[in-house]
Amino acid sequence: MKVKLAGVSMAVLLLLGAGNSALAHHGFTIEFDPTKCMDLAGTLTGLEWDNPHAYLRMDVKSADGKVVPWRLEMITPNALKRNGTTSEDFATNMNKPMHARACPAREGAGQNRGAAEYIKLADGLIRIVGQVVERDLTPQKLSFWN
Amino acid sequence: MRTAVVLAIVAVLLIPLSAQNAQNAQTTPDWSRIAGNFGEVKVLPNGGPVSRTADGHPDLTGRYYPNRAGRMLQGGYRLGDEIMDQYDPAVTPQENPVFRPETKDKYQYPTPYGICAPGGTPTSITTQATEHGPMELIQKPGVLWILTEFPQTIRRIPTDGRPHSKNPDPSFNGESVAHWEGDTLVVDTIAIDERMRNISVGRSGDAGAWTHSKEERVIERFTRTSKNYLTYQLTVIDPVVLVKPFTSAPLTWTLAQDPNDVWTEYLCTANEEPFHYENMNPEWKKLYESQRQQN
Repeated sequence: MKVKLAGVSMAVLLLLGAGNSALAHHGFTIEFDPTKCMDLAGTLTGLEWDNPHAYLRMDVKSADGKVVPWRLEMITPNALKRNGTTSEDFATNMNKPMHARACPAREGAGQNRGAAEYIKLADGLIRIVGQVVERDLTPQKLSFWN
Repeated sequence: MRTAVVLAIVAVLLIPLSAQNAQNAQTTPDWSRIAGNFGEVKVLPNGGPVSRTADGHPDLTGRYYPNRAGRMLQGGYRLGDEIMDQYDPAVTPQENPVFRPETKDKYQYPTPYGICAPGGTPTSITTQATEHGPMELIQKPGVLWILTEFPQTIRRIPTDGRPHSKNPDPSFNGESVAHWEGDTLVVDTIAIDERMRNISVGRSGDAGAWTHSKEERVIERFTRTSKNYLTYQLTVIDPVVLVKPFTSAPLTWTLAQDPNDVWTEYLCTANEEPFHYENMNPEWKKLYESQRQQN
């Protein structure tokens, strides 16, 4: 059964991987769970503007009032820059409220780590910053569209 | 009476159209609220005739993107096939490569996990089908330079029609020579390092990647069909791996329209996370290890 499950998982991986960046160093579904994507609200606290992926850091307040630091992967700086999101945009909106739609990392692939699909920084613009694996989730369906 | 029937038929025919329009209105977002000026993305006009160099050949010089919009788009968010696809299979169908059955295990496998390999020829160009990055061509008398941003690649190709050297050393990009056939520059490449994968050569993406034998030869045809449009077509010949040569559809590239478009240094080095892999769920890790062992 375990073997069968593994086989199915690999088939799904390969299928989903087909749409990902070919030369990128990892496939989306090996690290992130596209079935558990969630809304995160909090404060933008950091940016790693690096290849092959940029990362943002945000503090999210959990239900019990604890502050949980999240680290969210985005696409590459060259694609972000040419599609309306620069490192300057993050600097301008640093330490201000933000929203993200992100898919969490799988077990062992980093706690409180995820892959962002969309974000909204304090300037109010929706930004497409990652692989939108939730195909039906158009920007206007986001809980933070308005 | 007759008029009424005609009107009724017209009304019935119009119902699906209006329903469709309503659906489009629902699915097309207000782009002014989204970063990236996606509302301005459109299929480019041809832009006029191609300029020519002093020797009479078309000037291929320019920076091009692998879509019909003349700018970098994002693979994660598709704007529409008419914008993003490099060819229309209904107009120019493309057959998949036909592999020899005995070569499957040795030559067909995706890129191992965590690897940032060089692209090599022709992958540095073909992989832009999913990377969506730029290709820059710089044409000088007797020479064509081809640059890609990621995988960061520089190719310098003599275009004077010289033959290949006798025993070229293998290299990631191989040894290329070129000649003109009418308005098309034909680039012929051999001696490509056998570790290089053909990615998006045939099937798009890494899942269809395949390596090649020492006998591989790649023919690339560059044709600037108008100021804004460039066509790239490739043929891969490898009698060890393929039953017959693979020829792609003519793939469309468009000229970058933003004069301030940046050129980014993109080396896949800075924030790769090896520890995530080391700490990964053992079952997932096992799956990838089994893949790696196939190499």
